[in-house]
Amino acid sequence: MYEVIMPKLGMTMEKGLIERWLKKEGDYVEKGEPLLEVMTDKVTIEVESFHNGYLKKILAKEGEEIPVTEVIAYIGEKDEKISEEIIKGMIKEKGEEKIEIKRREEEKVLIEEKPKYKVEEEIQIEKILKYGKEEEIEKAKVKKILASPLAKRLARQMKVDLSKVTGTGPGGRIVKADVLKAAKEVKMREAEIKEKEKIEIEREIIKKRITPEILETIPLKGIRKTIAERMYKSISEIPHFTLYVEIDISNLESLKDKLNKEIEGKKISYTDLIVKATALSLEKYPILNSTLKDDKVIIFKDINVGLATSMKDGLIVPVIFNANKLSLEEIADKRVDLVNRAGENKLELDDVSGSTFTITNLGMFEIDYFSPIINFPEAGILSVGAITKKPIVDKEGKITAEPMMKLGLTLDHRVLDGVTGAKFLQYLRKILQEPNKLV
Amino acid sequence: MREITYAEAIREALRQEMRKDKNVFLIGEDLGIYGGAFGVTYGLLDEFGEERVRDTPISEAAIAGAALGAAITGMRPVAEIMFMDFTTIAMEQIVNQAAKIKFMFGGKAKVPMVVRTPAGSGTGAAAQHSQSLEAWFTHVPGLKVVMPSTPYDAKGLLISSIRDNNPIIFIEHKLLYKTTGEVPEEEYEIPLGVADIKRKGEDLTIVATSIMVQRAISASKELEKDGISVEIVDPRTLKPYDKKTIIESVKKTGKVIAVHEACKTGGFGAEIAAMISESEAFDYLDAPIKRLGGLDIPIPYNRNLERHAVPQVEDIINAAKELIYR
Amino acid sequence: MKFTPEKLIDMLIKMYKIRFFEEKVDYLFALGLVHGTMHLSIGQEAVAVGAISTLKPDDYILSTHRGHGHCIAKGADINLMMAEFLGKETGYCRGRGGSMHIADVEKGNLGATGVVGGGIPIASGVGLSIKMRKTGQVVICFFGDGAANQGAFHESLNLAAIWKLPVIFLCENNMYGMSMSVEKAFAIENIAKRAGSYGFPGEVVDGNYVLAVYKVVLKAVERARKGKGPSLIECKTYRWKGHSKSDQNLYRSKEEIESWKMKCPIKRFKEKLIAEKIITNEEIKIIEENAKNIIEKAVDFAKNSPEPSVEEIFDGVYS
Repeated sequence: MYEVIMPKLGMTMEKGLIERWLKKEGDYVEKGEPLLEVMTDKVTIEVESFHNGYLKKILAKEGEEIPVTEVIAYIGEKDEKISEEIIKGMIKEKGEEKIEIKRREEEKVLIEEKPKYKVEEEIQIEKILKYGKEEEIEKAKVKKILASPLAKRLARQMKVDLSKVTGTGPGGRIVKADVLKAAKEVKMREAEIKEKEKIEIEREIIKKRITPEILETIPLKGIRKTIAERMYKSISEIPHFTLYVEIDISNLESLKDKLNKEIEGKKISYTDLIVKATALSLEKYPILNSTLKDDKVIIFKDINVGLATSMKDGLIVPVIFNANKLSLEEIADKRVDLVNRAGENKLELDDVSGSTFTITNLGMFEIDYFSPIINFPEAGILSVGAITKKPIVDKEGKITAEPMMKLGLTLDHRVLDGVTGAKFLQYLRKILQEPNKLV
Repeated sequence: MREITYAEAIREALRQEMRKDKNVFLIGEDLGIYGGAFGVTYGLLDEFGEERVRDTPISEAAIAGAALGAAITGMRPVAEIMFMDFTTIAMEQIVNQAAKIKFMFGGKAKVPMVVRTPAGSGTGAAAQHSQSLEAWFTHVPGLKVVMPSTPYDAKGLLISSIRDNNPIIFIEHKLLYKTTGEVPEEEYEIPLGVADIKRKGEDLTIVATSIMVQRAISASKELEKDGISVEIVDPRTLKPYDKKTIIESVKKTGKVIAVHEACKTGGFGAEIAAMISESEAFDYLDAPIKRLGGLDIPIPYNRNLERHAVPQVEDIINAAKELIYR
Repeated sequence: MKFTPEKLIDMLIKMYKIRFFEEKVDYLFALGLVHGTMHLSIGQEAVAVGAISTLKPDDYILSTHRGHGHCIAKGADINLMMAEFLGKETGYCRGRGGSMHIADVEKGNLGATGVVGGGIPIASGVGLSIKMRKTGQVVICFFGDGAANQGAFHESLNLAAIWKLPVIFLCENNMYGMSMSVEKAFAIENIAKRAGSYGFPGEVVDGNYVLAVYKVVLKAVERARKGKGPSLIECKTYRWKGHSKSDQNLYRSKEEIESWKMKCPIKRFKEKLIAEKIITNEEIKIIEENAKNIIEKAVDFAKNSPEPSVEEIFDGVYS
C-alpha cells in the first residue's frame, strides 16, 4: 500500500488545493501518469503518480486545501484491503520523513505564535532595544554632548566631566585637545586645592604651637573676679610710676631684735616696723594718703594702712586703721590677728575696707624689687623686697656688710610727681635708718 | 638599488614566474607582438613563444573562462583584460564561476588564476576606459583583489598572486606604469593581505589605494610644512585587507581619511570607514572618518573635467586640514 | 560498431540509475526533504550515458544545471550525490552546492554550473590546459539549447577552434530553454550547423538513442585526441518533467509530452538489448532492483549523515 501525499511542488509551497482528481477510486494508475490537479499560488499543476497501482481510497476531496506531505490517498494492489484505521483516517502511518516534516511544521507554528506584547509594552521594549535600560533612556534625554569618540574615551579615563568642557572642534565638538586641556586644569585645580590644604594644615600646626595648651579653665568669680576688676580699673585709670630705694636697716634690725627680747610672747616683724614708719611718713606727706575722684584729690586724715595679704583664693588687703597712732605692739597684734583670720577666711568686710595706703611685701619670697598695681582708688603703694646683706662703704670709708632692704614706691602720677615721692622715700629712709622714732 | 618602472616590475614578475613554472602562461588580447595595450608584456613573446604568451580574439568572457578552465586543471594562467572596464564582459566567468567553484564544490577545486587589468583615469580615455571597479570585486567572496601602488609592490604582489591558489583580480593603474622605484632583481613575494605604511606620521592617517598613495605622499609633504604629520597606510590588497594595521594607525592618530579614485558612493573607503567604526579604533577617533573618492559621474573626456572627477593632491591637503581643524 | 555486452549492460545500468535517482529525489522534494530546487533530466538519460561512455576515466566533463545524469554517467558515488541533495556534510560539496553544483573533480567531473552557458568558456580553458600539458585528455562540455544563444558560446567556440582545443561541445537540445522553444529561439533548424561558422564539424544525433549518441561523440573524441580540434554535437532529446519545480507545462501540450514518453530512451535501449538477446527480461528486473537498492541505500546514507557545521562555514572560500 502506497501513500499518496500532497506533494511539495515548489520551493515555497506550504499547502495545495485539490482541484480535481483525474482518477476515481478503483482506477488503475501508472507511475508518471497524472493523478490529480493541485492549485498552489494560483497555479494549477498536474500531479503525477509516483507509484503503479489501483487508487484504493481518496482521503482528500476536491476543493480541500491540504498541507504538503499530508496523505491524500492510497494506492495498492487490486485485491489489497485497506485497514479500518486507514478508512477512518484515524491512524495514518507516518514514516520518519513525515515526522521530521511535522516537527518542522511545529517549529514554524512556534515561531509564528510567539506571545504578543501589549502595545505599551512593545513600545517600552522597543525603547529598551534602542536605548538600553530605563536609566539609559533617561540619560539619553539629557542634552546631547557633542564629543569625538576619542574625547569621550579620554574623558572617561581621566575622569573629566564633559558637560563642563567647552568644545573647540567643528560645531563645538569636544575633541581630544579640549579634554586634555580640561584634565590639565582639573589637575591644576586639584594641585591648588592640595596646596591650600597643605598651607591650612601647616597653619593649624603653627596655631597649635603658639597657643598654650589649656590645663584647666577656671571661671573668674568671687574674690578673684573682684581682684581682676579692681586691678584692671587701677592699671587702666591710674598712670603708675615707681621709685626704688635700698635702705641699710642694720639699726632697724638691732631695734627689732631688742624689742623682741624685751617683749615677752610677742614678735615685732619688719612689716610692723614698716607699717609704723610708712604711717609716720604719710603723716609728713599726706598727699600720698589720698584719692583722686571727679578731678579732685581727696586727702585723708586717717592713715589706714592696708596690708596686701595672700589668701587661698587671692589677694586681700586687711586694714590697720590709724596706724600712725598705734604702737608697734598694737600694730603687731592687729597684724597677727588679721593675717590669721585671712588664713582662715574669716575676715569681715570691715577688716578689708577703708584703707588709704597699702603696703605689699614679697621679701620673704626673696624678691628684690617689684612694681605692684595701686590698690584702687588709693594714690600709692609701697612694695617691700627682700632683705639681703650687701657691702657698704661707711663714713670712715670702710667696707662692711650690712642688711639692705629694697623698697619700691608706686604712685598715681595724676596726684603727685616723682619729687614728692622721692621726698617721701627720703623721710621713710631716715626713719628706718634711725628707727628710735618708732618706739 | 636599481630603479625600474611599474610596468617593468610587472613584466619582470611575469618573466621570472614563467621561467620558474612552466604552467604559468599569459592569455589575453594583444599581449604578444603588440606587447599589451600598455606595453606591459612587451618582449615576453620572444622568450616564451605564442604557446605561453597567448593572444586571444576580443573575447573577454572566453579569456576569463579559458583561464578558469586551465586553472582548475593544473595550469597557472595570468589573464589580461585590457581595460578594467572590460571586466564587465568577463564578469559572469569571474564572479559566478571562478569565485564560487571552490566553495560550491565543497572545497575540492583549486583556482590559481590571476586577472591583470589596468584601471583608472587620467589618460583622456573617457567613460568606458577609465573606471576603477575594485569595489565590485571586493564584494565577491572567493576572489582576492590586489592593487599595488609602487613598482616594488607590483612585482612582489604579482609574484605572490601567481603563486596563490585563488582567483585574483590584480588591478594596475595606467598612470603608474611609468612611475619608477627601487625594485630588487631577484624574485620576492609580498604576502597578500598585508598593508604597508608608506609614511610614518602622528596627526592623521590616510588610507590610500593605488595612485592615491602617490598623491597622498605628495599631499603629506605639503602638509608637513604646516606642521601636520601624516601617516599613509597602503592596504595593497583590498581583499583580504589588513584591518589591524589600519586600526593601529587610527588608534595612534585619531583621525583618518580613506582615499581612492573610484566613485565615493559604494567605494572601498566606505568599507574602511565602516570597519574602523566597528573596531576598537572607534574610541580613538577624534574626528569623523573622512572619505575621498571620485565624483559619482562617469569619467569625462575633457582634461580639466577629468581631473576634477577624481581626488587630486590639493583635495587631500584640504581634507586633511579640515580634519585637523586648527 | 561493435560493443561488448558488458559495455552495453553497463550503459543500461547507468541509465536506470539516473532514472531512479531522479525519480527518488523528485519524491524527496515532494516530501519536503530537499531544500532547494532541482532540474530533472528524466527522458534525457541516453545523452549523458552515450556521450560519457566514450570517455576514459581521466577525461573531463563540464556539466549543467540539469546534470545529475552526467554525474552518474561519469561514475559518481550515488551516496555522495544523495547526501549533497540533502545538504549533508558527506555530500560531494559538503552541502555547499546542492543539486545544481555537484562536482567530482577527482573523477574528471569539473562540476555543474547554475548559469546557462557558464561552463562553455571554462571548457575552452580546460581544453587549452590539456593542450598545453600535452596529456591527451579530452573534455566534453554539456550545455542546453538555451546556452547556445549566450554570447560566451560564440567566444568560447571560436577560441577552441582557433587553438584546436580538444573540446566536445555537446548541446543537449531538449527542445525548451525553460519555456522558450527552440523554434522560437533559433532561426535555424539545427544548432549543430553553427559549428561550420567556427570551422569545425557539427553533427545532429538522436539524443534518445544511446548508441547513436555514443557513435557520434566517439568520433568527436577521437578527432579531439588527434589534436584536430573541437566538435559540436547536438543531441535532440526531450525533458519529461518541468524545467524546475512549479512548472505548469503551459508552453507545451500533453500530447507532445506523451509522444516523447513513447520514445523513452531506456525502454528503447532495453527492448533492443532484449531483442538482440544480450539480456533477458529477468535480468532486466534484477538490474532494476539493484539500481533501486543502490538509490535506497543512498537515501539511508544521506539521511544518516551529519549536517555541515556552522563553525566551518568559511571552509572552501579560499585555498
